Amino acid sequence: MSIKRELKLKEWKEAIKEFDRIVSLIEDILRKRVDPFTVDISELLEKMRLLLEKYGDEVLLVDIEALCKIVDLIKEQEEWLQNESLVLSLGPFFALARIKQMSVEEIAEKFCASWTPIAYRDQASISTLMKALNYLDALKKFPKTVDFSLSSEYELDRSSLNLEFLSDEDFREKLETLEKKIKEVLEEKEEVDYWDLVIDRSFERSLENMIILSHLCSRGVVSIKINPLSGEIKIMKPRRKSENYSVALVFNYETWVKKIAEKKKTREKS
Amino acid sequence: MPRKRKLEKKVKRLIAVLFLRSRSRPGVRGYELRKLLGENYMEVVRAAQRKLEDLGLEIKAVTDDGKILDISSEEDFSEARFVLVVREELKPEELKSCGWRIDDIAVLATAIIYILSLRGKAPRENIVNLLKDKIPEWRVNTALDRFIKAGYLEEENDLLKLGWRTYAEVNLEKLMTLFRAPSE
Repeated sequence: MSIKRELKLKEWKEAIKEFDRIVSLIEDILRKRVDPFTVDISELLEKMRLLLEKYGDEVLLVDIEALCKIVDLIKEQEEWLQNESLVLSLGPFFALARIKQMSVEEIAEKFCASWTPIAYRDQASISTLMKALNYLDALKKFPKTVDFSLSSEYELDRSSLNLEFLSDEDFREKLETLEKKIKEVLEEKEEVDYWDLVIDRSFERSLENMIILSHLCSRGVVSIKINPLSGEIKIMKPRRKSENYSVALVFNYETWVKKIAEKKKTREKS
Repeated sequence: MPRKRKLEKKVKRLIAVLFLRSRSRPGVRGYELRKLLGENYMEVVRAAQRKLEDLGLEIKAVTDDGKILDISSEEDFSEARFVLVVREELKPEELKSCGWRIDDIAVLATAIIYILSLRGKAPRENIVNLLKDKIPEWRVNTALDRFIKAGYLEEENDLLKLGWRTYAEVNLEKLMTLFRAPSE
């Protein structure tokens, strides 16, 4: 009796697996954007009908799930056909090759020849105006700012004047330098300690490194991983976009002194 | 007030409204126009269309799923979005003044072509990888996010598909033909 039951259980498990196979096959097609007509729906339905006849209510739930997926697949086939006429049988590989072949300007030019943009007026909303007023209000709290006149007599010499601000060009240079440095380190190791990377010989340089690194993180060049238990902060290669979050790190002169001391200690040990 | 003057007043109001945009999305829905112009708002739309033709502009009614409705027909327009589009395609030298960077335009064009070549939906990751050699990855992602926000693209479980604005603004058949033709 128990052997019979075991056999039945085994068969039932096989049937469930068969349904799972159908579901995952359809899910794969939908996710990977494969031609939905590669699957013979009538064959799948026939298979499901036989399984349902044999096991009845026991497989009803998985049968419904598979049926829902088949409905999705039919919908996908409909969309596929609708677009078929538009693409003039341009396959993904051909599209890929064409895009790879063309320059950014060429792509934009071709697009512009088929583009009739919407005409609209840019307008400032009340909330934008309020934000601007608040910003101007906040500016008043600061001491008198440097007056940048456009006269030719006053020319900025970046090297001789230490105005403590960075031009766009300088900033971009610094970004590129740090990006290169991080990439080199990450090629050897999977991750690198955050403080090892940013702490420099002066407090100001360290702070600057932190700011530049935060820009690299925002741009998705690198990712930060924090261990909440040990407090360790690691820099690693960028992760998926959906995993993005913001992190606030406290840094002051005391922290810098502490980190420099730690760095010295580890260097001595090694 | 005579009927003709009343209609002219409504046409002026309609054109002003069509130029506005709410958040980052331009255009007005049919039911909003009904509220603003009355039950026979389509009559006003058709009159405005005749006026705008001379200025090289055109009113288009597009549904959320990208279907362009013929405004001379008697369909139900209440859910459609009415937008004002330029009648003629842009010239390459006008591209810089359209408000988007050339890089951004290339991202949009690539996304549209790749999505169409995959018959309607394409993984975001593939589009980013496709352009990685030409444009920095972060810029591609930022541009895609902006186009999603503006209604050119739609995102569904990491898959991108065309949004209503692409159907309203881009002549897809022409784009595909241009794209298939070999470069000069």
